[in-house]
Amino acid sequence: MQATTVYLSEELRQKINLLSQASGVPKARIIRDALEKSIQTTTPATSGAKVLLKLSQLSGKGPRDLAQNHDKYAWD
Amino acid sequence: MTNMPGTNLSDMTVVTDADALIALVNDQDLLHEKAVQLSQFLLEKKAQVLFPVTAVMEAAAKLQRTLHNPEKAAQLLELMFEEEKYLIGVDTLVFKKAREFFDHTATKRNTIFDCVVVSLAKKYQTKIIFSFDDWYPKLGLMLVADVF
Repeated sequence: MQATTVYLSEELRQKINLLSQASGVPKARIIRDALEKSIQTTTPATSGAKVLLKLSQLSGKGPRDLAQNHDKYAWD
Repeated sequence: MTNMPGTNLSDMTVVTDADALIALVNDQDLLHEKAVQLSQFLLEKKAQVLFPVTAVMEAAAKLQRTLHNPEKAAQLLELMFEEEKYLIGVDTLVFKKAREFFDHTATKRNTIFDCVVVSLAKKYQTKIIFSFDDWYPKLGLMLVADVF
């Protein structure tokens, strides 16, 4: 492993400290695990666009201007 | 459709908003065909399409109230659970950032849900939103329909 310097906000630093104290897990491991998880989230193996096309096959029937005026239909 | 100069979509992340989900599920929607067309293009270009959990919940709630068959809302949720790797969550930092974009005096149309979409776009370092809402470009973001 290689050492890397990063700047953290005070709030984030405090959260990491608290989590480390509460769990007994070293801060470095908490940061590494969070980075791994974030990278997995931001780079899915395939494009999520196929999900969009699956949604289009649900064939719901509703007002023709629903997408544009969904707040009006739901809450007014 | 062509890419904007300097835009390589395969390297890009797209954050989806509730109106695009609604347009896709409601096949009688005026924007349905356009939404399908844009989805096909995103797939073709292997864009990384992400779904905020808040947008999914917002779309499901509104479809439940407005579709003639509210079971479609449940099917939307079921599909998103099956594809959970594309879901992105909202933590307190995202929520706090969203508050910066929330202007309750401006218009009733743009809610805290939309502000969360903006906040997530910042978090995931993208400017592209899959939505038809012209509020996003006013904040310096781009709609998928305008990118291609």
